[in-house]
Amino acid sequence: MKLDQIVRQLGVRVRTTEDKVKEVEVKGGYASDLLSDVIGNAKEGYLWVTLQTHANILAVAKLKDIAAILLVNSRKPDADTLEKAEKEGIVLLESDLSTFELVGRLYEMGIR
Amino acid sequence: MDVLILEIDDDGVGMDEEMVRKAADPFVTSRTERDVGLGLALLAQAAEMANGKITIESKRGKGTHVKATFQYSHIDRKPLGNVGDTLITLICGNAEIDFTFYHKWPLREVRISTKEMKERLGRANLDYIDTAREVRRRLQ
Repeated sequence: MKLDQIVRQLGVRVRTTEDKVKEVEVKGGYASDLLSDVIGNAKEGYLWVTLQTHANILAVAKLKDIAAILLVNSRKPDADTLEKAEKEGIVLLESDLSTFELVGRLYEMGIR
Repeated sequence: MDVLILEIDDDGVGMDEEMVRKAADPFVTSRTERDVGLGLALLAQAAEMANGKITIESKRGKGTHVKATFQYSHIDRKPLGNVGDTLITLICGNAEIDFTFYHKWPLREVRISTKEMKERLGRANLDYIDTAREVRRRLQ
């Protein structure tokens, strides 16, 4: 599924690298706030759902070729994180919903 | 004192000033096979999450000193984890490096030195069995 379809259906805000949203293909999803767990279990092309906002999430996303990072519970990325995400070409999304609700909706949409 | 302090000193190649400034950036690394380096970046994040910070001092050709502080009682302070197994892996995986480990609690302290272990056991190199036995006995 294309990322822009997910963005539209969930009504999430795109914070960085907007130009990529139309082309990125989401192959699956993973939800975790433990970086080592994401490094171990997320796969290339996955949408990653997390509450972490530190710039370290970008390095993990890059390492795993994550499709996009979705921040939950209205959490705002740190200024440093926004700047680096743009520079590294990583899509950062923001939602007011909780991880539980987001993952439920994504799963219903067919992201698994 | 509600604080946990972790300090690491080495007498390695060191870093210049610019590298010291950027060392905790997750997109800065001295390795060449990938452009992401998370060691100090994760340590800095862990310290900041627990109301602490890291400081790095380094001199080219002299070595590096890293200090991380954590509010001990902070609910998000990560547990120290399995220090014994970490030490065993470090020592066995880097036979050419001598390690000295020192941990001080309010009522107790532990010191482990690979140099002293080698002297006491009369060996030039420590194998896994030597290392695991010594480290586990001291950290019990």
